[in-house]
Order: sequence, then structure tokens, then C-alpha cells
Amino acid sequence: MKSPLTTRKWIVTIATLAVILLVAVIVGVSIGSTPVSPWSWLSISDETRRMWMGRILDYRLRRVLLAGLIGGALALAGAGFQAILRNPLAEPYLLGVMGGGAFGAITALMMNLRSMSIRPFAAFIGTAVSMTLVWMVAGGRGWRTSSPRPQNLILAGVIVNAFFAGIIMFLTSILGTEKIKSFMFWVMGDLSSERSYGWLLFVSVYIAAGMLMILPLARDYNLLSLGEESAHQLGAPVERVKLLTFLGASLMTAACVSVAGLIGFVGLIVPHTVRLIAGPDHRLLLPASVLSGAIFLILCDSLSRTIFPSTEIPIGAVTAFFGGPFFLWLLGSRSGRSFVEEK
Amino acid sequence: MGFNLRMGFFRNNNIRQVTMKALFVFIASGAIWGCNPPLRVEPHGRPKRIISLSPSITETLFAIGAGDRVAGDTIFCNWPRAANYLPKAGEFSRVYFEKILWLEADLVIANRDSPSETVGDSLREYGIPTLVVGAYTVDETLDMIRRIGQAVGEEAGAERIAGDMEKRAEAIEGEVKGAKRVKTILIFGHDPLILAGPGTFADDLIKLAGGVNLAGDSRIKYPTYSIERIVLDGPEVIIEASHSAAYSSPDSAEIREFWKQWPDIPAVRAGRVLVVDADLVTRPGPRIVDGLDVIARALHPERMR
Repeated sequence: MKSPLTTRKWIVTIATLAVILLVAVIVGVSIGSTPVSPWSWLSISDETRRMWMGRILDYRLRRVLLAGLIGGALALAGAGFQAILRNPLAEPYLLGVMGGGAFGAITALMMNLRSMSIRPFAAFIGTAVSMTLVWMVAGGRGWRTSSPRPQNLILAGVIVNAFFAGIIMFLTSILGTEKIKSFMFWVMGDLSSERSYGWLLFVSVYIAAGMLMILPLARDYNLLSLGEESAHQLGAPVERVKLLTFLGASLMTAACVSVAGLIGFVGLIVPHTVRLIAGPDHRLLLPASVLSGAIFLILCDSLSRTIFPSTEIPIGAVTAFFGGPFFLWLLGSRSGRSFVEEK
Repeated sequence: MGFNLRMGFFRNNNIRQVTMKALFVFIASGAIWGCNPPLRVEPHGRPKRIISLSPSITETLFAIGAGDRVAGDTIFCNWPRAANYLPKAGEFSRVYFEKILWLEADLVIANRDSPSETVGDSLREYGIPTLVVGAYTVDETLDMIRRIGQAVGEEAGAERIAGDMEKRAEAIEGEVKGAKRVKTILIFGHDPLILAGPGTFADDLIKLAGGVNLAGDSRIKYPTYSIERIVLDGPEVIIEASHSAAYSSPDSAEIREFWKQWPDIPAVRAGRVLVVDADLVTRPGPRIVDGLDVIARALHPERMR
């Protein structure tokens, strides 16, 4: 059992994570496919060369910022889903939200709507449609009248995700060789394609909105972990909490999918890892998940850029490759303890 | 305790308020985008460090006499031979941004299909002038060569190459004029069978060479055909233009074994299955008329001298 949350523990944990995040950002900016680092940039005397090296650092910084934003958002979306569904498998990917978002974004691309105001919105419509679909299938009746059982939701989510994966596969196979590779990349996650500051701002607006919806729900999540009925009796507005979570997580997932494709594993392993280390209290779990998700994805992206010179590994492959075994190790080292119900 | 991030504004919302907020986010993001249009960076002076992001562009640059100013190209640029040894700055769908900056590019020329139409916007964000070109027909290729010539200050070289190509293409069209249109398919890959559909370069070449592309009425640019459909359509000539090693040599056993199973296809019966260098029929560059020549000879051997 973890000790209950104290102010001291909160501050220490968040401060430690903030320092690690800062280190991760510095590492991410310092390494890449060319031998440029902030130090070599400062020490160079040639003005032109310094300008070009500065641009390389600028390029890396944008990418690190994007990775951090996406990592934090996906981790928080995962933590939110796990809280309201009380299911360790809940995650934007497994709930069908990501698949729907990718379908929306790909549809926009197919219609040649490449502008940045449309693609994330199309992805959001996709996530909202798939979420509604999942909710309705799991509840059996309709959007407002029912409150689906958590197990049903996951099952429906997996099925809806498989359905969208099928549609995406169909689209990629009829679109022909010209676009297939980029679509393949799309499905495996890619942080390298859109990095203008315009996109960064745009994505951060969506993500900030989602975070502001989910972060204030920490107390309600704590009550929800006692079960929906108990939470209701203790005064938590259960249905509203669920709806806000779905909406906030959908917004964040849509923004992530529209710039970087499907990046699995972050929403699953980051909140669990944080829970195992810092305890289940959502007042700490939620912000710590945001920071840890950012750290995790920044480090994964740095690896994907540098592990083989002059080529890049899809970010989704890196998160799975490093995330999977780490998660299994954590699982094994704490075996016998349940994931979500512990309090 | 007391670290609950309590924000009344985002608590106690009903569904309608939440919907309004989502709408607000969308509009706000649109406004941000409106205030932040992509930087327009025009080429200035005579570029000295050119990066080519497509094999056809690399071939064009070398042909018009700008080869010594190419600072980097893609991993697929293999012609002329010197292009193999240049620093690599991209591949089919991806651009190595960091490498382009490292090479201090003062002009990037990219194809609008690969990596993408928006690559120019991304590069201009870093202050690198970028020319985005593309061609799907022989005529568009000639335009593209002239445009590249203007951008790199080799107008004369470009005009000479494009003029020669124009003359050769016209000569070939003259040879096959009035001949019976030969039913043709062009295959880009086996397993699955991917054909050249409408709007592709190969489609234009087949038409110019006096053939009719049986996959030309497909709705898809690179359709996947079943062998049944091909047997039913009965092509008189089959052109193999695959990039995979097993199917790209003229004496490929795989190709021979594959078509032996379908002796009813007129092209197979007449021994008119032809393997061509895929680069000649897919790259809108200076060698495209060589591709036209090869296809015209395959379709109308009796007319081509």
C-alpha cells in the first residue's frame, strides 16, 4: 500500500518529473542525425555556419516540443479513460478513439483538405463518432439513457477500432502505391512530417482544452474508483465526469492523431507506471502522467532519430519496443497487486 | 493537501456548454492559423547548393548542366552514376530536414507527390527556398524541365534538352500515327498485380506510343487487378516495369513461369511480354522519351525503324 498523498509528496514528485523533463528536452535537442549540439553551436565562430546550426537546433526543438505535447496528452487521455472505466486496458487506442480519429484525418487528406484547421477537426469528428458508436453499442440503447458497463465498453472499443482499421486498410489499398508509404507511416506513427510553429500552436490549443477538461476531475476520479454507485452517493456527478472525460480525451487524441498518426502504448503504460510508482491518487496521478508521458515520448523520439544514422524508425515501433518490456518488468516486480481498484 | 486543480470554469458543465467550448476551441485555432500564414521564401540569385528530393529532378539537374551544384539527393537517385555518391537528404515519402539544413541548401526542388504537396511550406518555415514541381505527361515533363532550368539559372541547357525531347517525341508519334491501337497493360508489381491506371505517366506513354491502356478506365491511379480480369481483357502486349529484383530483369524466370500459366492471353500466346527498366517509364525526367521509344517499339515493331 502506498502512503496517502501529502503536499510534500506531491511537490517532490512533480518537481522531480519536471527536472527529468527538462533533461529530456535538452537531450532531445542535443542529439540528432548530424553532429550539432547547443555547445558546438555556441563555440562556432563562422557566422553562416552558426546560422545553419541554429536552424538545426530550432528544427529539433520543434520536434521535441511536439513529442512532449503528444506524449503528455496521450498519457492523460489514458489516465482519464482508466479512471472512468476502471479498466486497466482503457486507452485511446484500445477504445477505438484513435482509429476513428485516424479515419477522420485520412478522409480529410483524401479529399485534399490539407489545411491545419481542417485535419484536426476532421480527426475530432472521427474520434467523437467512434466514441459515440462505442458508447451506444456498449450501452445497448442510446447516448443519454444508458450507462454502459466498463467491460462492454472495452469490448465495443476493440471492435470499433478493428472496424476502422479495416476501413483504413481498404483505403490504403485502393489509393495505390503513390500514397501507400506515407499511409503506412501514418498508421505506425510519425513525428517528422508537420512541425511548423503554426501546427504546434494549433495542436497545443486542442490539447490544452482537453487537459483543462480532465485535470480538474481528479477528486471525482478518486471517488469513482470506489465504484459508480458509491461515487454517486458521495456526490460525484458521475455522468458529467464521464462525458467531460470522453470529450477532453477525444479532443487531445484527435490533435495527436492528426499530426502524428497512431502512437500506441503511451496512454497504456505511462499512467500504469506512474500509478505503480506514485500511487493511485488522481490528484498526483494526472499531472504526473502528463509529465511522464512527455518525457517518455521525447526520449523515444530521440532514439528513433539517432539509433540508425540517416534513417528514422517509426515512433510507434519505438514506443512499443521499449514500452512493452518495461511494462512487463514493472508488472512482474509488483505481481499480486491489482491495478486500479487499490486505494 | 489542497492541490486539487479546481477550475470552476471547466467544472459543472452541461452538455451544451461543453459543445460550445469545443466549437470555441475550433474557431480559436482557426484564428491562430489565420494570423500565422506560411512564410514565402523566393529563390534569390543563382543557387549553389541545390537539394533534389526526387530521382526525376536529379536526372533533370544533371542533364541541363547543374549537376555540379547538386548538394544532396534521395536514396533512390541512381542516375547518372554520380548521383549515387551525393549526400542523401530524403527518401520516397520522407525528408531528412536536419540533413538539408546541415548541407546549407539554398534551393530545394521537390516533387508534389513525394514526399508531399506541403513539403515546400515546411521547408520555407526554415528559410529555405523551395520549388515544388510535378508532371504526369510528357508535355508536363517538358514544362517541368524548363521550370527547373529557370530556377537554377540553366535556361539554355534546359531548352536544349526539352527541345530535343520534344522533337524525338514528335518523331515517334509520327511513326505510329494511324496504326491500329494495341491493347496494352503495364504492370508495376506482382503479388498483388498493380497496374498503371489513368493519370499516370505510363498511361500517357502508352497512348502516345499508339496503344490503348486497358487499365486506363479504372477509377484508381494504381489499381490492383486480379489475373482473371486480365485474362478476360485479353491484352495484346504486356509490359513489365517492376522495381523488385525478381521481376525486373529481361530473362526473369518468375515472369516466364507466371505468364506460362495463362496461355490464353493474346500477349502470352504471341510472346509479347516485355520487361522494361521501370525508371524509364515512371520518372518524369530527361529519359522519359527513351521510355516512350521502348514502348513504341514494343507496340509497333513493324513501324519503328
